[in-house]
Amino acid sequence: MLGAADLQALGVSLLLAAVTVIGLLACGLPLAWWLARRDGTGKAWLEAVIALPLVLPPTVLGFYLLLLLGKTGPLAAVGLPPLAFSFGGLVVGSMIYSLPFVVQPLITGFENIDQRRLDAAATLGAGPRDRFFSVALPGARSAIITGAVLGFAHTLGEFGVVLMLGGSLPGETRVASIAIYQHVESMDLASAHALSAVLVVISLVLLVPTYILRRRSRS
Amino acid sequence: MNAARLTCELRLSRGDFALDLNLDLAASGVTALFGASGCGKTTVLRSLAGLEPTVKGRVALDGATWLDTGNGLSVPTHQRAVGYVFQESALFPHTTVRGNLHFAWTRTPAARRTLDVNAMADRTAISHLLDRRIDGLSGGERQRVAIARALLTGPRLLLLDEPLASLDAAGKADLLAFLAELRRETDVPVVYVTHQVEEVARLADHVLLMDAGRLVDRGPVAEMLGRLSLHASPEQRSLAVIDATVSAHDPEYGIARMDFDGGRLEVPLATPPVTWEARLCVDAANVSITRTRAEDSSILNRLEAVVEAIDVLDRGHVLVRCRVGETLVPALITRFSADSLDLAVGSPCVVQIKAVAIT
Amino acid sequence: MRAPSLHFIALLAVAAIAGCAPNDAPAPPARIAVAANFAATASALRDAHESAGGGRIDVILGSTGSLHAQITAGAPFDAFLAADTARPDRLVAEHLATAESRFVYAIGRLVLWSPHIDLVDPAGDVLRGEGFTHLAIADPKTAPYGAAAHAYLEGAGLLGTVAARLVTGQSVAQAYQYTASGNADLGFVAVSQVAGRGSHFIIPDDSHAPLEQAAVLLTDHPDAQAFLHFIRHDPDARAIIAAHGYGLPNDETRPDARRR
Repeated sequence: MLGAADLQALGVSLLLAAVTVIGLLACGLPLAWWLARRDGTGKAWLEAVIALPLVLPPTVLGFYLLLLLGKTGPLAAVGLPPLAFSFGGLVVGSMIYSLPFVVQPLITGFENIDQRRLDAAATLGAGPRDRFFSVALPGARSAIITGAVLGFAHTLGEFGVVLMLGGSLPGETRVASIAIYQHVESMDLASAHALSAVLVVISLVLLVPTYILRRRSRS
Repeated sequence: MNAARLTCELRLSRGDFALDLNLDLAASGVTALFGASGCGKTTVLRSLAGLEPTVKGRVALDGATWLDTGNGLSVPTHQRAVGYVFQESALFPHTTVRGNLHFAWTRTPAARRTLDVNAMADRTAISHLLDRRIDGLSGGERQRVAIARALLTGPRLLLLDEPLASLDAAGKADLLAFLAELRRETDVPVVYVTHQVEEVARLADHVLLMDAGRLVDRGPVAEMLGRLSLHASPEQRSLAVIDATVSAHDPEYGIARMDFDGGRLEVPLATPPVTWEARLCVDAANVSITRTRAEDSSILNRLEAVVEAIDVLDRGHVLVRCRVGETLVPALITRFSADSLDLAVGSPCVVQIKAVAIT
Repeated sequence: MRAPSLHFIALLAVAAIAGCAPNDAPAPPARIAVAANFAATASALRDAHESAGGGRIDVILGSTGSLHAQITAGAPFDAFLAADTARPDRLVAEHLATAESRFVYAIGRLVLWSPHIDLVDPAGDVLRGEGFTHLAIADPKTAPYGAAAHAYLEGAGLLGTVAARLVTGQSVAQAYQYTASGNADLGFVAVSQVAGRGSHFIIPDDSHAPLEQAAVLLTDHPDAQAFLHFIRHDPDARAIIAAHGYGLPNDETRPDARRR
């Protein structure tokens, strides 16, 4: 059903989504934990900045990332290797683009943890790091799964940022959504439908159990 | 542990609430921290545990200083040897009862370990719950687990914050009995926050009375109970607390004979008692007063007493505090009766206590 | 339940690290950035070129504007088939492409089109009447086809008549989508988009500036050079371009830069 090029694009998409989610969890968990336990205008500003990718059109975001990460950008000017048109660049772009989808559920999940449980853990001899790993993480488990799955699915469907930043290089930055776009523009609708169907099925397989799990953990 | 003392000076202000409290008390037995909601009892408890980051002052237990903000010292909570039981048990819902107990056990330094998980579960009668998840437990069971979990860490101070508050009447009675038993069996000093006179009467050795962030009164439980009623809600009665020893048990009538410094009491008890030490509580409404001994009454317990104080509660009622030996027994009677009997401070009298009213 | 999700993530991480490494083994095929409106034609040209023994070509699609931005930012493309002449000219000016490599490979043709078979008459008089509610047009400020349509309407004195009924798409692709989906009754689109369906009126080429599409070479990749040479000179290639509804430049050897 899918040609080798489409399978390759699908592979790049899945890999990109996985690496993005891992990266976002690695940065997002401490960030959300820190934010969930704070108040005031500083927190409001940070939360607003995290939510920005929801508001900015993806192509606009992609364009500015292109300027930032390209060979004429400020990062290249200070001697860093240009990340535009590479898989690494897509990871950076996707992490920014999917940031709110992962971090918002994490913040909510951490905020919903009963403070008394954390206090109790402290009186039982658990230090701050210990409390994070042994009380906060298990307590926010369903939020973590939700955030990871939403981030994964959102990255899988990402188009505008990747189109701008990636340059659609086969095997490197051509993801499934861009392959679909190319098929549509080239009037190859059969291939476009097949690849779209696969994306939809993968997303459903991920999302349905997540929402079932979420409903169960709520009741 | 006899000489150990808990000393603290705590100051904190938050909005229009200000805490300013100096304390120095023997770190032994159960100290009740009593007062109305919002008076700062819980804040004191949290400060002792190191859970109030903005509190200033000093906290020291038996030579170990936990807080000395003047010298920039604040031992973090997880390094203080305290056990803490919250109003509603703060158990970890992601694991089982055993998981909760294990959490405490693995984080306890070897030197402080006493009973292991199984022995502690046995001791607190929760062995049958070990593999249950937390959401499946009743409120009373949760509090037992929370207490067991706190005790596993071998605390040098156990802090209980209204542990009965979230329980229904049956759960309260059950956990109160459990705590009373625990009180006899453990020598960990306890600070117990409550605004229920009955809990103070049943559990405490020493009472601290707080109001609006300050310590307003303190003393041994027997002395304090009468005064507490002024601070307690109207439906709370005044109670007598009698520490007695069982001298005999008559299985045929189901009656135990108990001696205390003021005499002897007959108390209904279907089965022989487990321990010889017992704390008896008597509600002032179940105590009556005669000037002479009435031998033909159905009331078994008649004790020689002296009137120590008469508090007029309202137009119809007075609370007559009678001293029986070293023990205070308050009687709630009508003002009319008090006047008819011509009671005054220093009057000799007889207090009558219905046996069935002793718990 | 806690462990499997973490294991899954860990496995993916390992896969990610393993998958990242060996990607740059053989010399990469030529990467040709192609304006989206030329996509189908470019695929056909690539297939013809490959079956004639040419090297492998990767076609990368995008809007002319974003492809230009990517090239400026260092995108590893070997050649650029734009939808206008402005962007290739700018690349030449920026020394990202050589002037000698620039040539017009196709001339777009504007058509007034409707999916309804009897709406558009062969003279385009439909525009003078009340037989439609919405007329789709690409944005005259940013899209060459929009500018051409605007010039035609202006020249024919129709601008006032239709102004209230114009719906403006970002690009000619969007104008086509408005029309093909029936949301606009008719629209100004590219001949290459409609392929003989519905009813249409081809706008005379002299009523607007020519819709020239220029190509430039960005590297010296031999397969890319060969592909551009194929497009420019091969009769089969020129036939494919014409068959897709594009006009061809008259003089195929002259760079054609000054004609306007």
